[in-house]
Amino acid sequence: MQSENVLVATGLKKTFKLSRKQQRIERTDKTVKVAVDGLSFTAKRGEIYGLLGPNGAGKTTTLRMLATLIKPDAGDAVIDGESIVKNPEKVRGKIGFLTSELKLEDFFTPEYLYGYFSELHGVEKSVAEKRKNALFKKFGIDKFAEVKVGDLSTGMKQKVSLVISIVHDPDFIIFDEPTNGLDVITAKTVTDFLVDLKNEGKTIIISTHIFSLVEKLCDRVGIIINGKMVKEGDLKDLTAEKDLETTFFEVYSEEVGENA
Amino acid sequence: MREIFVIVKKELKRFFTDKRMIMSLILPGVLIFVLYSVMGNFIGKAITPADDYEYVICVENESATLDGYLSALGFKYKKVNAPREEAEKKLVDKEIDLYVSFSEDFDDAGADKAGKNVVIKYNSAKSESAKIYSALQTVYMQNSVASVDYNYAINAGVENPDMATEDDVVKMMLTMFMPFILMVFLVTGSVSVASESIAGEKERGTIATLLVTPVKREYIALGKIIALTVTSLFSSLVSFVGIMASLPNLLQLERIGDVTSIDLNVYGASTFVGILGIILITVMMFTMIMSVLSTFAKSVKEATQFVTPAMIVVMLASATSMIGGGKAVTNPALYFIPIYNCAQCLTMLFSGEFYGLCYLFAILSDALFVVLGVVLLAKMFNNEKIMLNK
Repeated sequence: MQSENVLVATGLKKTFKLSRKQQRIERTDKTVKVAVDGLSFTAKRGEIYGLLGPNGAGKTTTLRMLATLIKPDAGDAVIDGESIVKNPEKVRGKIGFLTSELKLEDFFTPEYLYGYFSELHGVEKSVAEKRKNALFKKFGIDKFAEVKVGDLSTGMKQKVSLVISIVHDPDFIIFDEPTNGLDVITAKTVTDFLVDLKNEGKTIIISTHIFSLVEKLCDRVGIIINGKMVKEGDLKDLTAEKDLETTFFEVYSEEVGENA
Repeated sequence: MREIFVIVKKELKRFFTDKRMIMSLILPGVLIFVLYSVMGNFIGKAITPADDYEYVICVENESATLDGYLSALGFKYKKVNAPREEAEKKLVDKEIDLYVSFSEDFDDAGADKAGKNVVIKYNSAKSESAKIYSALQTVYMQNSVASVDYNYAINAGVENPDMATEDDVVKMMLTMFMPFILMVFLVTGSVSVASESIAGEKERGTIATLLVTPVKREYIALGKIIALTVTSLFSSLVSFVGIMASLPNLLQLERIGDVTSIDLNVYGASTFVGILGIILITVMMFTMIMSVLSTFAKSVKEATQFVTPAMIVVMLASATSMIGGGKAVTNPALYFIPIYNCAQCLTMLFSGEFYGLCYLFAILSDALFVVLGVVLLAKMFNNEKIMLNK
């Protein structure tokens, strides 16, 4: 079972039209930007796969396609047997997706939102209650479960968002920059939790530009530059001779044609 | 389908437990009541002379009848002397209220009636002047000694020559105001809630959290629409109560006639059901239009900009209820035009009429419009460019 591919992404491509303002910012005459350019990769059950790349490389766009928030222009990805193009709703039922762009409504409490999203995911009430108690206790949310989200700190909000994203106990979890903007304590809580999830047999895809995070968490790594997968492999293999940072900048120089 | 109910429940909780939202739903109704009542009283006072006002009258060749009539009419007055030219100037300057001039032989019972004449001049821009002129002119007319050369009485001894029933008067008054006012409240009620619920969620990034759940986008759209319709209806109901409560004051009923209150019992139950049906379909239609515009917008501010032209169109269509002399159009084909047909149906119902085919066409046409709107909204919810265009 360990070698089963839970994710098979094939030739994922995504382009965005550039507005005049964006053209000015990017200093280009092109009206279209290729964010992801024929990306193919796989992830096995029970592993943490890290998409590593600089800002604007296409990591977030890739994860948003996998989460069915946006549709690929070409290519497809099959997650646990369901196509993100043909069956996006089924895919959404199987995955947990967390990104900083997903926000919770300030007016509601973590307690209410947990119940709300559990209902939307069709989780049975007794199961949801049991799972909520365990997760709230693990992340210390039980202390502020009845406080409105708008009154919580950034770290507290991130914990609540994390818990809400997995109300349905998904086997496939997608985290975009999981520790971005978090204080060290909350960041450690999150990374420890990711390891726990992996140990439970969950498959996790994360995107990041933090080398230490990849080295700490990931089993396999894909380096994305300008929307293309330029290097992929087991972390052990990639770091056998040099550390990850050195490997990354060598690849980056080759691709971009300059010293970083 | 269960998910629709879950979304509706959450949206309603948001609207009905958030103090700010409740205020925004109830406040328009309360403000309408206060504003219209104050406005009505203010206007009433401005156009109605005070009870103890002393009228200033300039008289030439005074007739003995004048004091008698003025006293009988209950006017408190004083007389001043001035030649006609000077009196007219004073009337223009609003220094006096009335100029009355009698012919030399006015009180001579044996004189030829053809030669008798009374000239009464006034200034209609001054409410006191207009009031005393109207009263005095009527009484001289009724006593058949005006400038005409023959002698007959008008409605002598008749207490109330107006044959309209109290019900008819109420219906006429409501037909003049209610369709337009109701339409305006229905549209303003839907604007605020739709902008907040859709554009607001997009702006705050909370809609994306909903979009990554396995719930069908059609269900999300439908859940929002149902909740927004209920909320808009509530808001409109509060405004409706506010306007009904303030109507007697606004129309200054006690000053203008025998009808001193608006009694909705003039309508039968079937009329109320008809009105309710139109209100419901109108709210759904407005909510739909506002939701579509709000979904296009990136923020609540942008949504407000988008809905302004739509509101103008709605108001123009609604204003058609005020033309046509309180009568709805009877051409059934015209009832296929959304929004316009709602205004016409309300006019029809408030005037106490009912054209079954027209009503049916309006409901069918508007229902189709709503269905098409839901389909469009669902497609928009499936469009990443629209939903994630922050």
